[in-house]
Amino acid sequence: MVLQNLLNGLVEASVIVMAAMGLSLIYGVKKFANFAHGDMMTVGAYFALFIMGVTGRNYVAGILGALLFVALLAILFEFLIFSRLEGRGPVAPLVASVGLALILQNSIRSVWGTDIITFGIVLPENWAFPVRDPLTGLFVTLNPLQGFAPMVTALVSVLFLTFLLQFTKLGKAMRATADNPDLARITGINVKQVRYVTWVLAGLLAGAGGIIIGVRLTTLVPGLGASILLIVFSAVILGGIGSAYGAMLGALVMGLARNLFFPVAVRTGIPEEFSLLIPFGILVIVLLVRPQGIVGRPVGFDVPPIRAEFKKLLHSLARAWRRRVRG
Amino acid sequence: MAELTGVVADVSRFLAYFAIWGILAIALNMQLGQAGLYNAGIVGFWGIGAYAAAMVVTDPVAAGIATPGHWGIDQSVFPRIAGVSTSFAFGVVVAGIAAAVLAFFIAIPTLRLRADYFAIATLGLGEITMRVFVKNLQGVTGGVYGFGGIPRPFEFGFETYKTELSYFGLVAVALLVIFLAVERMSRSPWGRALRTVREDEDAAQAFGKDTFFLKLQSFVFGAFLMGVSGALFAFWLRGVFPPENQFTPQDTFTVWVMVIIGGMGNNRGVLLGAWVFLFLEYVTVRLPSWIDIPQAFAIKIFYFRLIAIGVILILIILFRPQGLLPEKKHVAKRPRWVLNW
Repeated sequence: MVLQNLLNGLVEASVIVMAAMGLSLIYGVKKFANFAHGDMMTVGAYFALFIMGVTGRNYVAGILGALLFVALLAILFEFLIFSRLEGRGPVAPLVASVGLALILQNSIRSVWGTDIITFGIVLPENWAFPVRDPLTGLFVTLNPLQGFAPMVTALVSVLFLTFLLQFTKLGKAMRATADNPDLARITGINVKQVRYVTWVLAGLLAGAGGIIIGVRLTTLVPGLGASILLIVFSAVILGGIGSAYGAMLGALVMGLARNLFFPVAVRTGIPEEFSLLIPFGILVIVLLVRPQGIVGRPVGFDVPPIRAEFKKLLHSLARAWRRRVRG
Repeated sequence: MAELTGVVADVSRFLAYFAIWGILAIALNMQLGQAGLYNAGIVGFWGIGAYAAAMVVTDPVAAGIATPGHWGIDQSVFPRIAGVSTSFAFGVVVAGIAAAVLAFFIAIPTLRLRADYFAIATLGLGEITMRVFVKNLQGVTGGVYGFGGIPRPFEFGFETYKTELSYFGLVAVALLVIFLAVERMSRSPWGRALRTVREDEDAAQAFGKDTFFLKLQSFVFGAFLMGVSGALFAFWLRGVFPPENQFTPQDTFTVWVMVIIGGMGNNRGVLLGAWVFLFLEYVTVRLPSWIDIPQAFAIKIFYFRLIAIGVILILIILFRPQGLLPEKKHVAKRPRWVLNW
């Protein structure tokens, strides 16, 4: 077992899951692939930096300010652009989001240019666990800020989102709207409100995700969010479009797969850059073989009761196994 | 006199650049405007074409300590016509074929996907092609560094304006030929069948059209044109380089912007879109040298232009989705599908 890579994979998965959950929410409720999601994350990171600069290193204000700002931006986007594109199919808002991505990324560039920016945080010492990694012989380490904090944030966000979707009226309304907006409207759900709330949630998650990436990378670049967008898309599609659980599962697989590839690369001599093949390759294979992903349904946003969903998964696996044995 | 030749060289270079992107736009128009295929992997085809052509017109370079090396063909095997090597013609054809073959293999599994999934799949495959394979095959493609030293068909040594002007002439002829050919194709029964597939695939199948094969043909032919454009680009740039220097997803979205703003389904429209985009770039890059602008502002014009492009794209999507020059309908009044996308 390559413990260090496993741990690194979990950290990377935490980063991916923050973006994946927001993207999956938008895909489920607004029914389109938001190509501006990565840049929303970048905006979060840079705005946090801006607030910290203005308030004299006040980290709390920076984080809260950034989250608020991205959430407000999300509301603005829905109001100005995406609310008018309802009913036009999946491609019109996708192209609009491409334009939005251009606007966001270049707005950041025009303010901060090509300067190399950092949050200016002093990194705390790595924690060392009393376990040795069998491959390198070194102690397994984890950095509290760059490693542990993302995991905690991701876990809290995942639990929060699951609780929201499972046990609150709002969550039920979101699931209903994702499944069938007209039917939801008939039952008295304010679909317009649900859409705005979804954007706010996606914005909060994107903002938080951006800040985490900024912390992990130490230096901020304008292409920060956009560069991981394709990996996040892979995670969302692998897990299942519109399924929050799917996004979490997909992110986990993506993070682990890439990091567990590195020791394989070392042993077999495959160049390390080929590790990029994994998220892209998985994406393509999933799209070709099972476009609805592991958990997802072709349409709609599915967070059914956990036990029932687990049972369904077991049943379908069993069926597949029996079919394989038989045929 | 020296100033004039400098201007001629600069303008010719820009016009050739426009023609290269114009061919790309026409190619995407065939896939997107005519067949409704949202190809987001354009850089894969463009890049493969560029690299293939680059390898045909240059001698091979062995991998060494300083150079990553790349494949090539011994240039002496190519006959020369009037002092010009025929390797360029071969290069362009090979580039087109390489891109078409890649498109064929990509299309077989992906064509049945829904529009946005198709976009994501082609985006992923384009990235795999360029970022994973082309970028990392040391000794074949020049690896991470790419390679330069690609010659032009007509070289005039120090008289750069002659070199640039002659190359522009060549590319302009290519653009004209391609434009006329594609226009002819779209007015033919094949073009009509393709548009029927785009409007309503089920209805097209009910008429007995093999919709998969039609989409495949338009995708592969469009990719062929992208490969040709890539070859011409490699000659223009005199080099080929992998992402992040060249052939990024940004280039794919640039072509999308040209086609969508210019007018989907209308070849003249997409050329207009390409012209608007590139002319804006030409002007904003040269503006600081023409008029006095505070230095800080001068750098930012570059980004403002892209912000403006983004805003225009969103406005077009919202209020004029058919683009600046809408598709000329030969029968019905308004293209119904445009309002549904």
